[in-house]
Amino acid sequence: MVNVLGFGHYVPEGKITNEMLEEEFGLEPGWIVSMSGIKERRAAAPEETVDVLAHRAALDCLDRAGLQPSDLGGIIVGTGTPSRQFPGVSAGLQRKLGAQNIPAFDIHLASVGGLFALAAAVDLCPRYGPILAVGAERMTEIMAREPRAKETAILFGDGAGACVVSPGEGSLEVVDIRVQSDATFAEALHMEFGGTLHMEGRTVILQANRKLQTVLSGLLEKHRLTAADVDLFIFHQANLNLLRQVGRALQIPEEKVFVNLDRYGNTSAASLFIAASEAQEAGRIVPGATVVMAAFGAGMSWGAALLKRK
Amino acid sequence: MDTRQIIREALSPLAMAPVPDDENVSLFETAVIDSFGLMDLIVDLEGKLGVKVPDSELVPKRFETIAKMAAYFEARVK
Repeated sequence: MVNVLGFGHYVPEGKITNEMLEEEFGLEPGWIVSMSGIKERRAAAPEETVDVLAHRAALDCLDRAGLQPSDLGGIIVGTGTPSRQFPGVSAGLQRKLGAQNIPAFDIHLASVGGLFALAAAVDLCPRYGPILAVGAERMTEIMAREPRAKETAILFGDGAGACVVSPGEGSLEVVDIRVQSDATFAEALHMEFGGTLHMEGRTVILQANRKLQTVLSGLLEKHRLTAADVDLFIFHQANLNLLRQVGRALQIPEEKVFVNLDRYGNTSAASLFIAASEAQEAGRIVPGATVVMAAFGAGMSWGAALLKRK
Repeated sequence: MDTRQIIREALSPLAMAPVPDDENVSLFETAVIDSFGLMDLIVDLEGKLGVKVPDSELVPKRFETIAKMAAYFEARVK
């Protein structure tokens, strides 16, 4: 049995509003929110490196879990925006935490990096002890590269989220987690070293829609659940229209889908844990609650998790 | 009913701009439909035509025009 001991998050103070982007790209007022549901996104200050964002989310997570860095058995960071090729953000985070001599590594799958980090953590923690899974991104640094494209610049923001899982008893059990990859359309979402984000939006949306529906319905079916049995769905905060479309297809009432992308935009690997952390803060993960998490990202890769609060 | 007619009827409630008479005009470039509308359209057509589009064939270029859509589904209708 593996349990989530806590979530945590950090978002920078700086904001990029829709008004700022609408003026820059000559867009009609209201166009961005109608296309994405996003109203503003956060932007890290120059000194807030990805490592710093990850560290702040990790400290929040450990504090909520009642753990010290010395309690950790491993660190996994999902990120698509590391500041260097190697070593990873996990190395910077490990140094800042002072949690030496435990495995620490990155997973580079962009938006699904947090979920893959969680999946790996769930499998590794019986052997290594509590594992800290973090999603951290400085997407605005990538978006600032020329040529800027409105299709991506309007979507992404900075932030970090974290989750710590441990074997044994706890109050939020990870009942099941499944991750998958299919490289057929890998080039539709990729970024070269130092380059801009290449995103073929239509292909990504079609694939994300179909894969998320399939993995979610498969997970529910496996556990003899329907959407009605689930109290809260926490998805990667990609685009409100995508969340609504997936929700409609699976007959998920809108009020059961946690949404914070209006305030943070798409924070890629960080979004799932930021959303989970805020959902927990908001009291949405109540005793007895069944919670489903799902994400989609580069690879293309996707997955879903089933959690149960005691 | 003719496949093209079924496509036009399914497209009509999703269209964000007038559906072109020319079946070879891009529905994307004319802003008739966006990614989300396209997904809704494909799901609707899958049901109406009894054809399941496999993930590997779920790419926008196959469904960019009414003619391409019709050709795709007609080749797969049993």
